[in-house]
Amino acid sequence: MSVSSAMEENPPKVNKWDGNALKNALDDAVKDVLLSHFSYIESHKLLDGRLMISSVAVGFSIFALVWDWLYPFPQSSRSVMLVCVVVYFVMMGVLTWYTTYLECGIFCTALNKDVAGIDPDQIWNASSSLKRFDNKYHLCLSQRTGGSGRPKEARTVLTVENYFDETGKLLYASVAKEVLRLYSDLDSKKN
Amino acid sequence: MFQMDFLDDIRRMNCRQIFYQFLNFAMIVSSALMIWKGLMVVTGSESPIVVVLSGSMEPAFHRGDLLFLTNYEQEPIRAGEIVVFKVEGRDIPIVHRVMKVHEKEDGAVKFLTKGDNNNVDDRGLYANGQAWLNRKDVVGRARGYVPFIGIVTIIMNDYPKFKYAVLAGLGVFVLIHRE
Amino acid sequence: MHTFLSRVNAVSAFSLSTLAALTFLCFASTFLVNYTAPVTINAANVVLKNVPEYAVSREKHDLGALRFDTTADLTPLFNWNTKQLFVYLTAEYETPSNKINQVVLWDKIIRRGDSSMVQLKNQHLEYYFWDDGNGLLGHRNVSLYLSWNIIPIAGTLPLWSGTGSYKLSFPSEYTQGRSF
Repeated sequence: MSVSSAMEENPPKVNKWDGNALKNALDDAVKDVLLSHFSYIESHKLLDGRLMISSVAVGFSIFALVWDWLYPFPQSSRSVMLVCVVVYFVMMGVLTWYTTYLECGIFCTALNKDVAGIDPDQIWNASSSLKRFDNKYHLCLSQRTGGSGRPKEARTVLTVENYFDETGKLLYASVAKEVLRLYSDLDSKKN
Repeated sequence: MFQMDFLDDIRRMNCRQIFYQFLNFAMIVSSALMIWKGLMVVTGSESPIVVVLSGSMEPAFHRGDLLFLTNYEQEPIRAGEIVVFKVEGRDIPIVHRVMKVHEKEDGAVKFLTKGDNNNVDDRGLYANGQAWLNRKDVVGRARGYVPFIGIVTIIMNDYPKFKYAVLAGLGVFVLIHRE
Repeated sequence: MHTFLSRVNAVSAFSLSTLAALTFLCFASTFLVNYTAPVTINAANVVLKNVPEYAVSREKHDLGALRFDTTADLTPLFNWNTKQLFVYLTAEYETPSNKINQVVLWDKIIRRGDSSMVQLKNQHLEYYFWDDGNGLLGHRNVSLYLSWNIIPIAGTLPLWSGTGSYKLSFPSEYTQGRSF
């Protein structure tokens, strides 16, 4: 069942003192396990939403730049400028709300598509957090069926130093073990 | 070895994430731009923050000081105020003090400026044959002052290579750094 | 805190934010201060001529001259955020051709640490008292007042006037001759 992935063969090496790099490496490893051990398809909806909001905001700012260049301040461009600035900051607010509430640390959404095409898909969400200067990596795996139903969740806390060796190389096998353990926990839990 | 770790991060990103990195960069630039434009709208001045470029207002303002301007139409120009103006045809803003004001009933105003550190008034600086400045020459009135900070802008202008190096470095850093 | 770079980063970020906070404190603490002070002004030896103002045009404009006395104690204006005071004497009046005329006749820069008492007797004008036209002849209501521009260490640049002004009158005839 498990297909050997590129990451398993060649686990990434990071600066072990850089908390951000560690979190990113662990996130990538968890995502890799989910996608390569099971034949799930990654859903990009969350990231797409974020890209959309950002693009709209940047679009408004480019529009403001061009308009100001064509019709120099302060004539009619004043109201246009005001609208663009307000919309831009509103978009920033929307983006912040989006990342804080909607995304919630989720870095991977995988879909277990039903082969027959009859039952709705199972949606697996993996989210994580790693506080600054902390060594506890919180991982949460959640499973939801279709568009309804409460999600089942399984959480674990990994002590970061157990998953990287002295040179900063990721210990893929240990991470995979944890992820699969979480997965079977979830699977066996009754609704 | 330090750089290889950086680039590893990049290689592990898929195209959506790479696109997001560029958007991130664009958003930082846009935020700065929008804040500037927002200031322009709020203060009514086309250049709400200026750096003092010459020593003609010493000892009040030195080269490199930062001035915050407003340019509200309703506020009249009065003697003693520090105004930033541009002489017609020239692009450099000049920061001097208003010494004489003559305003007509309909609001049309003409005024004369002089730098505190200069011995003569600014008639020599105005365009040929121009004896007075008008409302439309004014970029803004100095309302707030912060010392020294503008030195950065002056250094960037005097040594453009340094400016490009800093900007390029910042840009690369933002593009590579994953959230 | 393991590499030189991250230490430099942390230290400079901290010092920059402290500087910014201090600057803001400078501004906020003197934002609402009243910089008024009582002033007495007196003028004498008032002379009026009508000569061409070559710097402006070929026309003849009114040129006034006077000597003035003034006393003002500006010590209370120097608080911890005052770098210098730009003190100036303005003549303000209305003429048929211009609703508002303001001409600065004399100015002085008082830096922090200099004597903050302004006591002048029989002082010359520093700048020529040109009118934009011939509106000074027989003018009975020219106000002279002393104002100052506070230049802070960081913060707002307010303009304040002293309480107390002088009402100046110009003669109804021009003085002939070349000397003042």
